[in-house]
Amino acid sequence: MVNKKSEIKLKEEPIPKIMKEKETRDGTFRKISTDKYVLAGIITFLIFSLGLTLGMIIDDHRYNLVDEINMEQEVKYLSLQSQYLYLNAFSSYNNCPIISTALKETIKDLSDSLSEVIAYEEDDKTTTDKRKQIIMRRYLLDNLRYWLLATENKQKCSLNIAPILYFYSTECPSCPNQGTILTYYKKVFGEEVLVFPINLDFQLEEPLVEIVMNQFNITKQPTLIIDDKKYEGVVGKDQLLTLICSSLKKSEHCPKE
Amino acid sequence: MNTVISITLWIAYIVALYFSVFLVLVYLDKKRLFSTEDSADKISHFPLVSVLIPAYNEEKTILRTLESVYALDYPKNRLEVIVINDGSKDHTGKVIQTYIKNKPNFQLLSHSNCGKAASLNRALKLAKGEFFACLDADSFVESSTLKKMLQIYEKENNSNLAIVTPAMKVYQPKNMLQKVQWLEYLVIILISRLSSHLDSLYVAPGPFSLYRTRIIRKIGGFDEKNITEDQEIAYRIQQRQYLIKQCTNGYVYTTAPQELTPFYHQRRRWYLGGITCLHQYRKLVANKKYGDFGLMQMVKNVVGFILAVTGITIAGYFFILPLFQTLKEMIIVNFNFMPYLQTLKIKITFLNFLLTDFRKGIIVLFLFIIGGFFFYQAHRNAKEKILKFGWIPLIPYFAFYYTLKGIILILCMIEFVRGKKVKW
Repeated sequence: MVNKKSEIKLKEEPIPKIMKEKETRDGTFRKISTDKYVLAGIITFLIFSLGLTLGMIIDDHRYNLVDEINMEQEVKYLSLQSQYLYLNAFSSYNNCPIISTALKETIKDLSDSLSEVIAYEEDDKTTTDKRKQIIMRRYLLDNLRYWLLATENKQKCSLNIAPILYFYSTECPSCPNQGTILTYYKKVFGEEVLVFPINLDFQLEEPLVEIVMNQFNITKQPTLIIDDKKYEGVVGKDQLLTLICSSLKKSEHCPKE
Repeated sequence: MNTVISITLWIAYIVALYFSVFLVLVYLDKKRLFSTEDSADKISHFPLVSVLIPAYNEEKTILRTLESVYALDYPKNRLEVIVINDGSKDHTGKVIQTYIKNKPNFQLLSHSNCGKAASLNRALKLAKGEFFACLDADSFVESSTLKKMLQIYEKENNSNLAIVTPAMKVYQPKNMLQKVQWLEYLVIILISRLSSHLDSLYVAPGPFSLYRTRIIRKIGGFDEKNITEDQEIAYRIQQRQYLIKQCTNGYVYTTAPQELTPFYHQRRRWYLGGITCLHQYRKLVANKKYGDFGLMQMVKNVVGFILAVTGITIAGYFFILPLFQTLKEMIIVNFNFMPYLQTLKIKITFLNFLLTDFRKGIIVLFLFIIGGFFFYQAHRNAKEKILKFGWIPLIPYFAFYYTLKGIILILCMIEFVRGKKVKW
């Protein structure tokens, strides 16, 4: 009984006070900085648009730069081809040292610009741009031409190189592994191993790829072609080393027998 | 997946930019008031003030705390100090007893351990002051601070002003972690100053926030269940439509954790408390009745948690994925990584430069500029030099510190969600 009474008393007291307080404190001091909300929105939008515009301008520059690299590549190739024709015309002379140096230099250039284009390709996977496809197709062609030149030169001038033609596509699940192994040996052997990657995603647009594929009867990916021989499926680390070493005449990186 | 991440990133960047731009606008708008705002230590009358000092196992630091209170520039007969020994297991009680001898305005309240909020509530029943301040035993107050804070009460002349908060600095930072926190606290002072202008303060720092006794008693004192009673009381004050103001130059010094484990424990308490408070006062979020506090601050607090979590997750994704890829490659070549190192060369060509994503890049750039701007202004605001501790602390501050805080935040959010599930 006593407890209940005291409880009731306690409850009775504060209620009217709180009611009074609520009347005086309705938050009239509160302000809403609507102007700042709107202005902040506008400024944010402006910065956002600035970024978009800048991105578009830079994209344009980027394409132009890749175009330049392509044109440079073309001139270099023409120069190399002329050298090759010249040397063929005067084949009685031993001109092999000259052309092998030239070839190596050009191939080094190709791999440099190719890696840049690959980086660029990976960066913008989501964008399907016609220009990008054309650029990639030209690189594919470049690779095929260099591979032909390198193979022919190897036979004629007996160069100490192992040209590898590598067919792959983005849909093939085991291709990244093959790529890793190829990159590894490219790094081990340096200029002795020449890897020419052919991305079959562009196969339909490029008849030359069709010709090569028909000749070697390529049905699977990944496929490697080393010295006119076809190797389907992932070529393991040890097997590839044996293949490279049998293709090269001598190399300090090969295991001694 | 890539598109989802891309869109999330875009939203995160834009939202972050929006809040930053808003803060800049507030700064530009209020800047002209800044020069006239500094409190002087001249006040016309001296109300009775109680200082409550809860102490639990603080024998090492309590003396300096007591001395800083004793040295306060305020008439002794208008200042009442209640030291609470919350069942300390060390010699805290003895140290206090020896110190308060012959100091009639100091008194000791001893009871078995019941936590900080409960200690404060018990002392609050005894406190006779019109205003009262709490001071943690690891913090020290500058002698002029009390008068400066009281001047805010005088200047505002508003009976609904419930809390005046101090400007908190780190006490004599020694190692790198403390120096980084020193920088962080300075920025917090400036941001709180801007929040104060928008009536949007949501923390009343434990060390020396000055409360109006009448109002705190009316709203029922400190919440003994909440682990961050200093945040909870500020949210409650806001909810009941009272005011909180900052005393920009009323400095209080606090000892920042020196090692990672106590730092983690402190932050875990803050963030878990923050999440709990936000959940408890979720009705205030985007509530027009609370003006800028509801529409901006509460929204920002909620979005801030989400932004931190998405930011860290995406950063983790971009960091862990390449790591995983590299590991896979290494397994294929039997960890023979020498050829990679030999041919390793860092090439920065014009094309590489063009490859950077300028669309998001420009937003990040602006975020950095705004961050740097506030960092600079924070030092000016607190009248400190940026290179007070050399330039080395700036590196971890800008590079890792926010990542570290974000990771702790994620852990806390996981803990919070799990705790909820167990309870329900």
